Formats: sequence, structure tokens, C-alpha cells
Amino acid sequence: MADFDEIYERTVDYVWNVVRRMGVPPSDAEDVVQEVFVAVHRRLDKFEGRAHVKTWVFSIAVHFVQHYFRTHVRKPGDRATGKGTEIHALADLQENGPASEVERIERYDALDWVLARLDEPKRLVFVLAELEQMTLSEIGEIVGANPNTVATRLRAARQAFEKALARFQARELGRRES
Amino acid sequence: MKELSPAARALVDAHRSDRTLTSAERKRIKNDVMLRAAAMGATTAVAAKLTTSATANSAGMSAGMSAGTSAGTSASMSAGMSLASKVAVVALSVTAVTGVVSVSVRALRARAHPHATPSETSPPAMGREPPQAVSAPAPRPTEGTTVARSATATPASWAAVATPAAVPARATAAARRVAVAAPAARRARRPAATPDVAAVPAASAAIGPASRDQVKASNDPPQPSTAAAPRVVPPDPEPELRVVRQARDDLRAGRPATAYRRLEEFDRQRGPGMLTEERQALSAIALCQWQPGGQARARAAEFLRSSPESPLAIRVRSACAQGSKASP
Repeated sequence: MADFDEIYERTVDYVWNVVRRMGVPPSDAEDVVQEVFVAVHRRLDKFEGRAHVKTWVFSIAVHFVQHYFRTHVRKPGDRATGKGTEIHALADLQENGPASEVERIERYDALDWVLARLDEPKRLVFVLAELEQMTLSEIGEIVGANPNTVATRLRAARQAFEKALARFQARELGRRES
Repeated sequence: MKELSPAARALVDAHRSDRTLTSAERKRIKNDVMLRAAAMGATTAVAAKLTTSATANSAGMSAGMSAGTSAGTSASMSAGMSLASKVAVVALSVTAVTGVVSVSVRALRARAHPHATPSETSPPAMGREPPQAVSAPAPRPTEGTTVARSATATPASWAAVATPAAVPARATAAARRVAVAAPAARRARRPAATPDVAAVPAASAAIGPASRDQVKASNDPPQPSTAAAPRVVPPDPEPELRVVRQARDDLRAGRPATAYRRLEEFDRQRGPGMLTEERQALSAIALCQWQPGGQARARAAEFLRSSPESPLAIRVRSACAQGSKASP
């Protein structure tokens, strides 16, 4: 049976990255990562080794990230109160925020800003493929889709990413010129 | 498949895995994971230990003494431990004290009802901890008893506790030995700098009217009966763990006021526990998020002063720094 300590050391940074890149705010990311590894700890004896350990841990991580979004995002009043995840807050600020709030966007890096423009399924596939460099079949195992579906989703995600990046660059250019 | 443009590729490559955790963060997260995992496993372990300690009657008395001693020792050792270690100690203490308690109950019951059979007995006492649980001498066998039902004790373990207790002479001697061992355990715990988790009452295991129904008439041999036994309770870390978890969930859900009130209420009712540091940190964070200002800063400063080495200090500083920036 795989050793928990070893799994933790090997995967915690990846899990942290995925959780953060998926838009869980820093204040909650640590709790989500904890939940992921508590689940890993509990299910370790059931891990049969059919999947790669990293894939298995990621599938658990994705489950908890999705659960987080279901329970913490898009609740009534989230937008009005400014609560919700950082990624959606960013998107909201871009569309609705006053100048002072737009300035806060500068605190976030460009990649987060661009990722914030992607919907959740595209963002997930994009993060796993481009940032974690997982294969289509590995992503398919994680998200529960066949590789062809993943490929289609990734293509759409890349297009959305390019569009969002173009908007970001145009916005940055406009800010500099003004 | 359409590849990314050079600009997009450059952006992705520049930020790939750029957010690695520091060693302190990795350690802190792992500690919390082990804490939560151990908390979830502790209840099961207690039930299993109960069964084991009860069925091992012949060796149970000496084991009770050593368990009591180890419980006290482990409690006193917990002062400077990490979270994961603390929980391990809690789990050990719970199982150890439970062992003493179960042996004591069984022995006392056997004294009063030497002919009791497994089917004639009630569940062993577990639940809320009274002072006499580990310190009082063995009560007279004829005393009336309230038997608490533990949420974790299974019928199987109840029966297992009662099964070997039908030898009066051995049980009587055992009761005396436990009575000697228990104060030793209490003395061993006393020097602990960290408040003993045994002091945390178990609200969830409060004795209700239903448990009174379990008390049988002891002078009616043909009928099911319950022997005299002290109303004893092993330490239960679950309420404190639960309030920490709930407060964390409150904070995550954007309810710092609820989190703060929950923690303060628990502190008022229960006082210090094994997770006092965690509760204080969460309380400071909640206050900083809820009402950033002088009081929140004072609370954070108090925590940082009392626990400067806490792995949670970073989070408190971060939360309260953000809060103070946001406040007018």
C-alpha cells in the first residue's frame, strides 16, 4: 500500500497549485487542500494502484474544488457582498468594478486574471493540461470523460484563453496609454 | 489540436508551478490533515479498545493500572506537541482512560451481581466525565448508579464488557486495584501545562431520560439488572474538534461573526482544551474579518504574543493585516 507521507510530499504542491489556479481564494485554499489529503488518508487503503497516484490524488482534489464551488460560489448575495471566490471576484471587478477596485486587479498576476475568464470545465482542463502537463487520458480519468471529450474541451479552453489574454493585453495597453 | 500562441505559451510557462508551498506551510497543512484524520479515527478506536479491554479480563486489572498511568503521562507530555501529536495523545488518552473506566465498571458490577450474564447487563458507563471517574475510591456496590450511553459504544462492546465479569472474587480485587491506579493517573496528569482534554465535557454524550431506563432494579435476580458503578466518562475531544471545524467552515462561508460567537461561546462554557491555540487563532481571524479595528488587532496581538511559534501565526497576521487595511 502506498505510504501517505510519501504521497503527501510528492503531490501537495501540485494539489495546491491546482486548487489555487482553479480560483479558490488563498484564505480557503489551505482548507481545501487539507480536505483533499484527509480524504486521501482515509481512502488510502482502497487505492488499488490502477491509476497513477498523482492522477488519483488529483481526482480527489478536483472533487473537492468542485464541491467548494458548489457550496461557496454563486450563492445569493455573493456578488452583491463581494464574497465568493477570488476568480469570480476578479471577473466581477473587470466588468463592474470602479476604478479603485480595478486597481486591485493589478495585485493578481496575469495568468489568474485570464483563467478567471474561463468557465469552470474549461479552466479545469486547461489547468490540468497546460499547467500540470497531464495527458488527455489522465485528465479523462480525473474529470470522468473520455479522451476525445477532453481534447474537444481543451481546444475550446485554449481558444477562450487566447481571447481572454488578448483582452488582458488590450486592457493593459489602454492603461499604459492613459 | 490548435496549440497556444507564443504569448499564451510564454505566460503559461512562466507561471507553471510557481506557487510551491514553503516547508512551514507544508508542515502546517500536514499537521492539520493528521489532526482531522486522527479525530475521525479516534471514535472508532475507542469503541474497538473498549471491546478489547473488556474481554481481556484476566489481564485487565494490571493493564488498567498501566493504562491509567500512560494516560496521565501522555497528557502531561502533550504540552509542547504539534497538532498531530496532540491528537495522537488525545486518542491514546481516550483509549487508555476508557480502558480503566471499563474495567472499573465491570469489576464493580461483578461485585454487586456475581451471577450476571451478558444479557442481563447494561452498557458500560461512558459519556460525561465526573471527577470521581478516576479519583474516587471504589463506591459501595449497593449504591445506585446512573449509566450513560456512549454514542460510540456498540451493543457488542457492551456485551463484551459484561461477559467476563462474573467472577466475584477476582472482580472485587480488581476494583480495589483500579481504585488505587486511578488516582495515580490523575496525579500524573496534574502537572500538564496544556489543559487536559479530559476536562472538556462531552455535550453530545449527555445523559438523557432514555439512559435512566437502562438502570435496572438490582435486587431482582431473575430480571435484567445493572450493578453499582460510578457515572464515568472518558475524555472526549470531539466537541472541541467540532467547534473548530464549524468555525473554520463559518469563516470559509463568509460568516466571521458566527465563527467568532461560536468560539467565544465554547470558550465561555468549556474553557481551555487541547485545541485552545487553534481556537484562539480562529477567533482572532474571525474578529479581524468581522470587525477589523482596535479590538481585533489586540486579539491578534494577544495570540501572537502567547503563541509566537504557532504555525497559525502567519494566518493570523495575514488575516488581521488585510482586515486593518480594509478598515477605515
